[in-house]
Amino acid sequence: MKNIKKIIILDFLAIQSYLTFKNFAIYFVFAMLYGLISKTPITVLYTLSFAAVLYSSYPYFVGDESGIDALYKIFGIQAKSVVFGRYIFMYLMNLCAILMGIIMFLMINLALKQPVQLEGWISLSAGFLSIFLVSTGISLLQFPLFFKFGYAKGKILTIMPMMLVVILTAIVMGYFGDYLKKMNLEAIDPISIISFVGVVYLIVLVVSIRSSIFFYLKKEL
Amino acid sequence: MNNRIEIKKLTKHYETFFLDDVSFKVPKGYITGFIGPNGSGKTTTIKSILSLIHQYKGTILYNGQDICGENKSYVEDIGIVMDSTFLAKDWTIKNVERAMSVGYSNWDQHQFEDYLKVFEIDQTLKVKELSRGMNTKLMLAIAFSHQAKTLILDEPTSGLDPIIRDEFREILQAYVEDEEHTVLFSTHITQDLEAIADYIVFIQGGKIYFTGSVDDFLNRYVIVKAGLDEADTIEASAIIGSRQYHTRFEAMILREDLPKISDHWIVEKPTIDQIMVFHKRGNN
Repeated sequence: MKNIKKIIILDFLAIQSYLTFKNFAIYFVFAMLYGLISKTPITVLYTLSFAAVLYSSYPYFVGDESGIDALYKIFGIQAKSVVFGRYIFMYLMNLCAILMGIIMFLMINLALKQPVQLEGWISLSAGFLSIFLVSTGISLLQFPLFFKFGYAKGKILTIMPMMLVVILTAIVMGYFGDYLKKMNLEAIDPISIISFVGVVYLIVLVVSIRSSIFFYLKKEL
Repeated sequence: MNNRIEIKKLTKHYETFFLDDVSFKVPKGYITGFIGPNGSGKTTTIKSILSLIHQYKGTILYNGQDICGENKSYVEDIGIVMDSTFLAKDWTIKNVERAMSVGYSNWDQHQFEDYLKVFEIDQTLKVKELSRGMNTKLMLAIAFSHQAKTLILDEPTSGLDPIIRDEFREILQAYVEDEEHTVLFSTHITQDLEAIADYIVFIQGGKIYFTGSVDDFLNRYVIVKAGLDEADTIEASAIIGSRQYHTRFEAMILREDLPKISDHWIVEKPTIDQIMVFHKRGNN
């Protein structure tokens, strides 16, 4: 745990030079303007989650550029701790993005004079959670490739699993679309849907972490 | 425990290069020079010692303990100065200090600040703005500030001017005044070693050719010179490396093979550089 904490702090230090006020201001202004103009405040969460995905990949970028992975080894930190540290760091980044997004979401709502009712909060929470799961899910697909190939090559190869998801979705919809429509999804118990999504997410998480550890243990610097 | 590092039959294969049964010892309390031409396997060996490379055959012992285990805390005992600093290029010296205080459990901030002053490192600069010499000094300051008992230096002086190299040699000599301190110094600039090294490990083409004291290394070989017309009088099997000019011929042989040549050949003691060059040239 001590080493995982070290990695989180070191990764933060590694990307600190990219966490500038200017960059934050750009994201803030862009997200606010887009939310206001489109009159759909939830878009701020998409923008900030995108930023979180980007920033959580930066330690790999700095790793490619400066060799900080070697530095972590020189500190005597084990490969598993590096992997766990990177994943926790990613979740922390996404959590911050979602929390900031909710604050900005409320600000836009206030500006647009669209108070959110209690019933609205339940579906909004589901929306926030979905955005969180999608953005962290993207990182879960990216990280094993980053650990194996580094940032530059991994980023290009990341497109492949994403394309695979798109292609699989298209195939499923193509073959089973009519069947799914007949299923009347709205009638399905929300607990079942949440459980299904939760199980799929957990499987992806476990596979992602195990692959990252496998690749990183083999990696020579 | 007389050896800080002991390498036994280290073998590592790459597509175009391999380390072949590399074995040598780095005695505690001394400076060991690790020499060889570029691409001879020095960095691969050093990376293996630091566990940056781990898929190899053979054994590496640090303070008598096999490093091939999950626990890599022995690396904390080693100060490293390599061709690359491993520091994020955008880090300021303050960031470097913070990162090291997180990474090293026995980091001494005040000592680091003192070394920054001694080495005259401008603390307002970022890592990417430091010169090659300043980067080397920064790595040394880091190594000395986490109480490293071993220094491993991989080509630290290449690209440095003679003044900084001289300063660097003095720093190393002062470091090994403490008997607990050990240095493994890889370089192909051998003048640095002739001045300060106690032992030499000579590697070429992934094979160890010599390991022992500097004096033994220098006394092991002789360079013999004669007119070109006499070149045939020396046994080809005795020649380690040779060079032919318009009118004269010179060769490096083992000192023990001296009786095999006639008395009127000129015999000279080689420098480390010459030994490396003749080894590389072979007998053509």
